[in-house]
Amino acid sequence: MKKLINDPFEFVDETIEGVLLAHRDHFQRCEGSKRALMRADGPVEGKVAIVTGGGSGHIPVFLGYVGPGLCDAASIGNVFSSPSPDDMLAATVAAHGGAGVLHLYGNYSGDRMNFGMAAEMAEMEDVEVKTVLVRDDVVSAPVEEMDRRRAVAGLFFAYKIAGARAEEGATLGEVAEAAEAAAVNTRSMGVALTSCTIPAAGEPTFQIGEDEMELGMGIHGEQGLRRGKIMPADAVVDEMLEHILADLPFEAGDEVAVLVNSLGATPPEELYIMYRRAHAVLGQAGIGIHRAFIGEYATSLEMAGASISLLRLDADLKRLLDAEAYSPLLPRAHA
Amino acid sequence: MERIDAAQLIAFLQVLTEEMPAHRDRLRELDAQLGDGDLGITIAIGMKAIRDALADFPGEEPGMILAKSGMAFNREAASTFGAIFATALMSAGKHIRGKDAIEVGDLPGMVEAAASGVSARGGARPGEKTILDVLLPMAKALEQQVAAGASLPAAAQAAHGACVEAVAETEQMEAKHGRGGWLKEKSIGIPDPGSVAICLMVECLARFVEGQSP
Repeated sequence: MKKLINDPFEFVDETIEGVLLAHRDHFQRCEGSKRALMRADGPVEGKVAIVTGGGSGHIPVFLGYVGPGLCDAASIGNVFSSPSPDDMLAATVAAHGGAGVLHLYGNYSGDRMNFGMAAEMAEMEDVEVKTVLVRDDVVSAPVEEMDRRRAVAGLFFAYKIAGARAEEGATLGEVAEAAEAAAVNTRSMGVALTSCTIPAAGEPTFQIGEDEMELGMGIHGEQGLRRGKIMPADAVVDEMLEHILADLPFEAGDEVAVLVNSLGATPPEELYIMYRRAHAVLGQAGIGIHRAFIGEYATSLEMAGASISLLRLDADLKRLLDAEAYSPLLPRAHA
Repeated sequence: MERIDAAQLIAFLQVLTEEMPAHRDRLRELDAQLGDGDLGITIAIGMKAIRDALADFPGEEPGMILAKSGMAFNREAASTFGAIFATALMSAGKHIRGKDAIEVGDLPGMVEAAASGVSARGGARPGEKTILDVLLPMAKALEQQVAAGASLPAAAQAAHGACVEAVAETEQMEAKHGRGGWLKEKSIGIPDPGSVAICLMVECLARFVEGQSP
C-alpha cells in the first residue's frame, strides 16, 4: 500500500482538520461533534436546511457538498462506514434554521439506520425532518426494486437540485419533492479498473487482473454486472449507456444533464474521451444535452475507473440545476 | 407503584444498569452459538453508557429519558443490537412525549411503538427470531391487562410472563437476520439472544415496580 498518510486510524480526523484549515471561510464544525461540518454562515435563518452524510473516502462526497446552493451540513464516518446517529443529530440541530431539515443521502442500510435514529431524536427536540434517499445505480437492483438500489455519483444532482430549491425559499415539503424528482430521474453506472485500499485495512478491497475491468461496480467495491477484459473507452461507454438509457428509459426528445465522474485515479483526459463518446451516442438517440459535468464528483479513494450519470430534465429541474452554488471542493457546480 | 415519573425512571435505570452486566457471560455464550458472541459485551458496555448518562437526565421528561438512554447505549456500543435497542427506546419514548409519568395504560402503546420502530428500522417481520418476537406478544399481554383494569405491577408481571413464553418460542424459529441468518436451520433449538436480553430487562422492571408498591 502506497499512501501519503500518517496513522491510518487518524485518516478521517486529519482529513477534516485539513479541509477546515484550507477552507476556514467556508466551513465550521457543528457543536458537539468532531465529525460534522456546516456552512460558515449557517444556520441560515428561515431556510430549509439540507443535511447529508455517510462514510469517508468519497471526497467531494460528502463534505464537499456543503455550501451555498448545496447542503448546509454533513457528517462523516470512518472510511466507507456510516457516521453515528450522534454526529448526524449534531449536524441536524446545528444546521436547523427554523424551517425544518431535509436528510438527503445515499441508500445504504447503515446510513439509513443511523440517520433514522438521528431524525427521531431531532423530532423529539422539535426539529421537523424529512428524508429523501438517492438510489441511482442501475446495476444494484432491478428497476422494479428501485428502493433497494444504492447511491453513486448521482448524489451530485440531488444535492444541486434540492440545494437550489431550498435557496429559493421553498418549504420543507417542496425541497423534499425537488430532491425526490432529481433522485427518480437520475440513472448511473460505473466501471472499475483497479481496487481502492481502505487505509486501516492496508490491503486492496478486491483483486482485479491487470487486463480486467468490472462494469457496474459500486463505489465501495460492491460487485458489479460483469467482469471482463478491458475494452476501448468507446465500447465501455456504449455498454454503460445501453444499461442507463434503457432503465428510465431515456427517450428521443428528452433533455439531460450528463456527469462523467472519476472514481479517484482516472485522469480528466480519460473522462473527456468518455464524454466525447457519450455525446455522440446521446445525439444519435435524439437526446438533447443541456449541460455536462466532468471531473471528480464522487470518488472511491484511489480506485481507477469512472461513472456516467444522466439526469432527465424538465423546466423546473433545469432552472434548479443552473442556479448558483459553490463549494471549494467541487470542480464546477455553478454556471 | 401506579405511575413511573422521571425520578422513578432514573431510579429504575440505576437498578437495571447495575443488574444487566451480571448476565454478560450467559448472553455471550448464547450469542456465540448464533451470532459473533459480542452481545454480552455490547449489553455490558451499553448499560454502563446509560448509567454514565443518568446524571444528565434530571429535568427531562420520561419520554426523553428513554430516547436519550437509547442514544447513549448505541453511542458506546454501536452495533446492530445497539441500533435496534436504541430505536425501541426512542420509539417508546416518542409515544409518551409530553407526559410527566408513565402509567399502566401507556405501556401497550409504548411496546407497540417500539415493535413497529424496530421492524421499520431493521426490516424484521414476526417469526424471524428477533426481539420483535418478544415485543409483539408482550404488547398483546399488556393490552389484555389494561383492558382488564390491571395495576401497573400486575401488568408488568404479566408482561414478563409473556416474555418468558415468547423467548421459549424463539427457540423453534429459524434466524433470518444478521449472522444467525447464515446458519439457517442450524439456528433452530437456540433462543434468540436479543430476546433473552429484553426478557431480563422486563423481569427487572417487574421487580422494580413490585418492590416500590405501597
